[in-house]
Amino acid sequence: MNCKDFEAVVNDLARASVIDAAARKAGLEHAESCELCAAMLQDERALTSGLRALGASFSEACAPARTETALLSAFRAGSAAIPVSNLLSSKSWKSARWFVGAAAAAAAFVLMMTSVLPLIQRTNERQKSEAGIIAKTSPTEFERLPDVPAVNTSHALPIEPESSRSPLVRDVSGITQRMRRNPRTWPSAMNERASLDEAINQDQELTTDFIPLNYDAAIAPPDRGRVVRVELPRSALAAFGLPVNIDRANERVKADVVLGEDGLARAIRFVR
Amino acid sequence: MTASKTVYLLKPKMTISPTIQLDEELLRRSMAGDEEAFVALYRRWQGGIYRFALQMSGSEATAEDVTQEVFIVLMREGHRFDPARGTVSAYLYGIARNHVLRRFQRDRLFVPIAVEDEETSAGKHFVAADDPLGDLTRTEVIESVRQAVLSLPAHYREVVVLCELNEMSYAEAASVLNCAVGTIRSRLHRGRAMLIERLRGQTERGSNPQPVTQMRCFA
Repeated sequence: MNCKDFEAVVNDLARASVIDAAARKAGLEHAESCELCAAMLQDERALTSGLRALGASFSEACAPARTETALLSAFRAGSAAIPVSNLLSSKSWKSARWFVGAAAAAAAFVLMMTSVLPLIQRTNERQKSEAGIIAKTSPTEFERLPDVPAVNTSHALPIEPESSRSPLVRDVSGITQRMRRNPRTWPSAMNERASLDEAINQDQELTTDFIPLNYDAAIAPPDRGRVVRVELPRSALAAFGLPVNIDRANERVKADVVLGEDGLARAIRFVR
Repeated sequence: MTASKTVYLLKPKMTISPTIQLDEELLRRSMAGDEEAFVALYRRWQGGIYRFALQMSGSEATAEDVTQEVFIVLMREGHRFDPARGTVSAYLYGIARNHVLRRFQRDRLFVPIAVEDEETSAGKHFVAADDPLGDLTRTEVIESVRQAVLSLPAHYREVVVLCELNEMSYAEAASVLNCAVGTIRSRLHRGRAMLIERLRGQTERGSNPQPVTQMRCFA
């Protein structure tokens, strides 16, 4: 036995665990010939005795009587209303759970189909009617950002109803095509589509003016770019000098970020 | 001539000890509303659960709370116990372990205010410089070992507590912690090595005490 093998059995030797007699003998013989391993065995034995002494010092420890009293009260109160599931045998309860789970899944599927299919039909119809609006913009970008101010140093901007909203970047037809190609994307696509519809149809959306993000004065306002809708912690408002309601500090706030062709964010506006 | 070889496929004999059967029977009756069975089950296992929580946390209040929570969970969800997955005791220790770990996570947010007088802090030091681990059975050193166990990371501590302080077998500990026996072995090996290192560290600090504690004012 070498030192590495000895290390593998030293715990068992020190704890007097049941191990193979040959391994035990070889280990003890090795400890006699190797000083380091002998010291290791001595340390392990001392630790074992210390741990046993510590364990013995806890032998009388038990929960106080008030715990039993409290639990008994809870048991008496609870046993008056034992749930039906407890009265079922383990096997029958398992099969009952399977049945309930299967029924719930079926109900969810039916509900999803009845709610999604009409929406898909409506999407197709709306797509045709909106083709004019969407066709004016490229799927991923728009020609010009007319409402991005070249320089805007005022951060404490009043929130006003938006009169001329920038064209939205997301492509409705793209979402619909994706849904056709892969029905699995329906739930996420429907959410995406719903938020897009909301953005298009909602005339009540309030936004601040675009606030330039002046990382570098040399960066000129972009001629071409993209507007991306994001969600930020409400505390981000404070970074732009806008008032923050402390009670709602944990909530998130929507914002449109202008990205230049180089991918850098140039301006931001907050949306309510 | 080829020697025919008979292979016996021995199915492991399933023997259920009377203790395990008793626990399962008590649990079944408790779930049916039998108060006596619940009390019997509580009295059989409360000591072990309490000690486990106490040794893991070092706090009597935590141990008391955890013991109470374990049996409340048993009352509410005892019907979920599956004998195929382990014994009643492993189930109870498993609940206790989850509660203890949850408390550790919650208490991580708080920083304890250490109030230590000179006498008690001096008494805790381990001062056998020549033979650091030779006198581990001394009463004052038990406190050092206790502190060293409490300073272990939780996943090593729980193995040391179960296998060393509660003398569980590797298989029993594996059932409680829901892991392989090999994992228990390796964690115990590492945990013991860390204990020896820490006790050595305490010895060195004890033989070379530094009574002056620097206080810094951030005001």
